[in-house]
Amino acid sequence: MICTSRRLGVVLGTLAILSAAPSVRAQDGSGLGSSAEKQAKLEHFDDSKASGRTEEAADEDDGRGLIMLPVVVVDPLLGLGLGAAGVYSFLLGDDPDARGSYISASALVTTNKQFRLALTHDIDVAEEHLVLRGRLQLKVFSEDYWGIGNDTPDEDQRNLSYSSIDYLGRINIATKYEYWFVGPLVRFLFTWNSRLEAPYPPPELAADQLNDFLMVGLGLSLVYDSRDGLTNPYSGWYFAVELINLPSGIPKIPPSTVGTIAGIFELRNYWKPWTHRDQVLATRLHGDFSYGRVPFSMLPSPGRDDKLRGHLDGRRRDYNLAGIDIEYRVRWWGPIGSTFFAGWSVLFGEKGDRITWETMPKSVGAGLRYMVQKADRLNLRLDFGYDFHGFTAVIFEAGEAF
Amino acid sequence: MSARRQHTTRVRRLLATLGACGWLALRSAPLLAQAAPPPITNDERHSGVYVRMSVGIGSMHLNNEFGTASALGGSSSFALGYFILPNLALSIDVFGTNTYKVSLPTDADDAPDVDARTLALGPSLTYYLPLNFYLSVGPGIGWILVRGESGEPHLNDAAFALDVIGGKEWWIGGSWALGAGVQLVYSDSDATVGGIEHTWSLGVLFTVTKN
Repeated sequence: MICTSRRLGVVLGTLAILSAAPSVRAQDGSGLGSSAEKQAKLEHFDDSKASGRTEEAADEDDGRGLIMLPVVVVDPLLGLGLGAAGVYSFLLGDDPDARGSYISASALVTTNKQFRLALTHDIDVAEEHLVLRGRLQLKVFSEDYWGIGNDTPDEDQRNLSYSSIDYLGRINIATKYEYWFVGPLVRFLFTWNSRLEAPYPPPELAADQLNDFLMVGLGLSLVYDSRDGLTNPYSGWYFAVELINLPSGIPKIPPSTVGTIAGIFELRNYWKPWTHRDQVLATRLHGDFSYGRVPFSMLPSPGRDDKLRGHLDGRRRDYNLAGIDIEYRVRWWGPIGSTFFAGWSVLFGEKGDRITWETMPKSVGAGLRYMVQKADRLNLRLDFGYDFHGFTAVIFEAGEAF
Repeated sequence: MSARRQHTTRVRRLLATLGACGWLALRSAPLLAQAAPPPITNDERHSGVYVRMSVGIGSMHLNNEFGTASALGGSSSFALGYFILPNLALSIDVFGTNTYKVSLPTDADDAPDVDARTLALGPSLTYYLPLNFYLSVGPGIGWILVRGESGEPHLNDAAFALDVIGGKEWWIGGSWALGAGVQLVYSDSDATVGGIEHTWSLGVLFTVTKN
């Protein structure tokens, strides 16, 4: 059995940032949702009491500004990582009730010769009813790779190293229809210095994907978000569809060996069957679909984005992943709570894939919760997930999986 | 029953019916008012700067001397311009299509798999019809890039290309609109590039437009 405690240090950094800067929220596909955030604050907890600040104090100091934090990551597979993170939060315009904006940065170096620099921005232009969101990531990285397919054998494991710079930007426009958001997205991905451990190549690895490549894409997303909170919803729906075309091969700008058409579907529901103990049944249907010459870094994988917790991200990759995650959350006493979760999916797309019970990624698990910020119901979570193939993932992070 | 009594009964029924209709009309007036479409605001007009972004998916066809091969493909376009007349926008349109792992028809036993991408730009005219239906035509010049199994890319000289879109948009707030439509993209080549003479793509597309 292999265990991993991913993102431990990032958790600590993120947690501190969220606690210190009320304007910074956990981000997901919605991008918007200021009304939901306000409702989340009002339900169950009083914001000013929870944060220990009076309104007068809040007027004097809204918590915005620059915050710097150390980052420590402990992961048996990735080694020990050290870094730093910073976030600068600010308010655009003169409206003190407007949603805050922020720009954050983090850098991480690990003992496995990995380097990652990430910059994110979430800029709320309230006057234009839109939010500019984006993430820029520079990686000089290495990871394990087993090829493409839903049943790749363990002996195909190779070390894959590469460098990449990746930017994903979105414009989320609030529509006149309540809870509906829409907007274009752009993505730029340049990967170079890809090297694969010998013997080369392993099965199902397209050799041309190891060449340098540049991808530039334009997409569109449609989101419905009626959740009563972002970090830990108790009720509501979340629905998102996204389509992006990422061709490469811009004339005169070689090289270009890959290209992808990718679609994402997600439907979540949060339901409280009983009001006491904040019991919540959370359900997520999800689908990640890709077509074309998809680079290894963009192939859907169980375990990524907290889908099917219990799987090692990257152990199985294929062109399409669709499934369901169900989680039952209970807050037992004060800040203490627990969860039970299960996931099931279908991984498919590669020639020769067989859809059987064995090749269907599935996982079960349980977790502990400690609520560290009542205003946003922010939990510190410790999850144990099992993938039915002998792997157990231990995830320690801030915020719910979905 | 006498004729007078029958007449009185009819009058009462008529008055009761009219009263019921009036009551219903009064009760439903607010509902009808709510159900009516929101009034057109100044933002919901086709004037000023015009920006349209789209992404689509459809069937891309590659033609060579032996016939046509088709496969699932994607498309993207970006148009930036200005409304030169009410409902008529002139813009610069950048558009492209792409498909992967297409088996080209050949006289040999095994057909080679190729990837094909097109990129083009040119002026575009977009005209908005009633109910926010629109038609856009954009001739231009473009390139076809073909990569075969050997990995060697083939790029042609610039040649004629065409982008035609027909669709409908819905106002979503401010001067933004969300749309869906059908797109035809054609790319020619003055000489055979990677064995391909021309490509065309037909599919659905989704747009976000700022008018």
